[in-house]
Amino acid sequence: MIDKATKAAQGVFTWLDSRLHIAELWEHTAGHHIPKKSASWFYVFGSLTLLCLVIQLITGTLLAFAYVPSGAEAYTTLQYLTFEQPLGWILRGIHYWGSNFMVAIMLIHMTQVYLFGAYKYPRELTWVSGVLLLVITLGLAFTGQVMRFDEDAYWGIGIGAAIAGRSPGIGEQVVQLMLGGPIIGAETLSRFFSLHVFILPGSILAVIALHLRLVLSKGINEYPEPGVLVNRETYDAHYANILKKDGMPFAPYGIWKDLVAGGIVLMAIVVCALVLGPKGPFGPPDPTQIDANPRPDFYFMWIFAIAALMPDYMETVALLIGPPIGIALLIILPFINNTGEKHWSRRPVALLAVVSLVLSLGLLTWYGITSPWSPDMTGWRSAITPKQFLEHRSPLELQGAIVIQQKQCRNCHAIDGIGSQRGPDLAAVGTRLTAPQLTRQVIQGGGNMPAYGKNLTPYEIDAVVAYMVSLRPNGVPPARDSTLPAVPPSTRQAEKNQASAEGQHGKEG
Amino acid sequence: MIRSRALPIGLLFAATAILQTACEKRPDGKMHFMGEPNPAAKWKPSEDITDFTALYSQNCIACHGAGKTVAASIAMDNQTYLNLVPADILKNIITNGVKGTRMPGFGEAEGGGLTGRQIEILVNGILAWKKPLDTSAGALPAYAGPLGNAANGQALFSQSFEKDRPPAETYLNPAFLGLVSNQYLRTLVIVGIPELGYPDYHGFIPGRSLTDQEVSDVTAWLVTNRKNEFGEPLAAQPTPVPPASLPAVPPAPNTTDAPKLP
Repeated sequence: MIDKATKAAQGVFTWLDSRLHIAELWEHTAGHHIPKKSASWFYVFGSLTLLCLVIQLITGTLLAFAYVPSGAEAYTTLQYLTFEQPLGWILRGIHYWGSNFMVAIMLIHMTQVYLFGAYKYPRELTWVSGVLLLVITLGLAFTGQVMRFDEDAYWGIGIGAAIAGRSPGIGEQVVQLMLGGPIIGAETLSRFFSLHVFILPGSILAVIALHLRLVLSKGINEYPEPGVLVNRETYDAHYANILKKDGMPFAPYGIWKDLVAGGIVLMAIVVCALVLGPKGPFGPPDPTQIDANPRPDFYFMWIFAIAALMPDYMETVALLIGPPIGIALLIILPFINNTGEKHWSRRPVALLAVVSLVLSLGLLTWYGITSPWSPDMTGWRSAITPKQFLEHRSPLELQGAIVIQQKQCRNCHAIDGIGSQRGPDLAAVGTRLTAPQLTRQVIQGGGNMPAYGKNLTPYEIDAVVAYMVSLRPNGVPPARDSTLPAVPPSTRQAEKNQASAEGQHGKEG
Repeated sequence: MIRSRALPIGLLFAATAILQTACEKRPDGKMHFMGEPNPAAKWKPSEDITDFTALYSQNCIACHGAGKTVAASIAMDNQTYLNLVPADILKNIITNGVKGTRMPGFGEAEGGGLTGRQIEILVNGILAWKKPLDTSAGALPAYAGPLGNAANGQALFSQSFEKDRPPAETYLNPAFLGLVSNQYLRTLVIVGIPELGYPDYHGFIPGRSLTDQEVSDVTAWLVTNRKNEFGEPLAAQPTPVPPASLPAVPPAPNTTDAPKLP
């Protein structure tokens, strides 16, 4: 009975194979030979990126069953998917975390390829196609952020269009093409939807086909050895020799690590979706919603930080010229440096470039997430003042604390870390500025602070200054006027003793 | 054989443990994954917020504190204040603010952004903190009253405050007096800010509580010390007396339902 079934199955397979050449396809793809040392955990990131793409395609297709790509209905369907559709939130969560993992793993893959010298001869086009995949993936990420059509998406499109609108000569036309009009309107979301579900996925599948074709035809990069140099004349023979001596089929000898890592990534994405959930939707995509606090997803946080931190005159240069130059550098890299040492330990400049880039992007991303330059517009009525900054204050000083709230100083200034970080923390401002200096600063502003002279009465200024002078740690005397003659240390010590006796924060003295 | 079964069983246990850790019990009594969006957290416009704790935390807590949070102005859960202030005056203060002081109006007409319903919720929530006040040491003075005899007030003021309290003279700072209303001074003398060392009418002078008349006298004394920015004394402005038809302070509600703040 079993023999009959086996024979029948073999017959079916043979029939199919004679027409589809499955065995040959397997032999040339999963069965291709790789250097034994390349069956390494460092080489799993390409497969993992592909796995993330497959997850995105499946979850994205399922989400499209419910999502209505219209400016009027997208937000409602997102709310339906998130709060009402059974398991809709898990689907959204997996799609969101899948995109985060895809971008992160792709960047790790590129870093590994760069550090292992895999972009060098004869794999230049493999690298170039990889750079194209990065650009398309970031395009998918941006348009995906727009699909979550909430306040983040709305302002994200607005900022994207504003950047595109600065293109010299063609700015207006680019904005028109992007938005389907001069402003965000009915056609805008349809255009981004087409990009996100048709044009970019189609493009990425085509480039992946090219990328995989190149991986198979030019082979997996050998594990680099210090001192083994790439030479265009000898490399092909050298690689063939490695495969002959030490080669083994990718399946099953190399693929199991990809499968194990794939299982871990799949679990990690699902766990993130279950524990952290999908992102948003936040407030509606409504420009009249003045308390919107839009932020891009993490992969664009560094651009958000650069745009916020750099001076005005640098904006056009940094936003329009910087990214094309960066992409161009990545594309020409294998053509200007495609022989020689592959091992990272013999390529200090390459290592330094990676470390610098990771630190810069990491730091900018952190800045973007915390965005200390953003005022907290509700700080004046919700940012509390710790007790030690109120105890033992005079009625005037307490009124000063109230003026600081009512005049919205707390929208920019924290006290002991509570409140916005835009301006300096006021917790110890009394040790840095004297009463006249504080008065001048409040009245005239300066250093990015507006002048409040016309918005405060003289008594309010008195109260604010009296309170701020009192803001200093216990035992630390108030700031001294630097125009006064210097005093001997003994006098300074007497001042400290007096301040300690008076105390300030908590008045322990 | 045993080894081959151990791996899937171990994985099953690990997966169960992860799933268990990823769950939490929600107010509906059911277990939910932590990542499952809570319908209560669904975005809504600020005018639709009707939760007292959220409204108080977003609008009042920075200046008025409550619970463990201390603030620079009179705490809204100060029991003396809660028993003193009439509900409609509290509502009026929140809605329209107090002109000439730091209290802004939160009503829509004042640009404050709170709807009438939200202000009702705030007033009811604040008054729900009220408990019956022990007045055995001295009757609670009236919320409002005319200015009294400044000379008597000065005599009382000279006795005020114990050694470890803030010096009484700090009340006489012209800038302070120029920033607050007569009513604020009267309320401050009655309810104080005990959490910051400013006593209420029981502790203003040693040994006994201030009477209603004495509160008016002390307020009058403080008001006569008011000066303009050039140090010139200002004429005392009479404190408006609320109309006789003012509704009675509502009785203390069932305190077990009082909303809590951190």
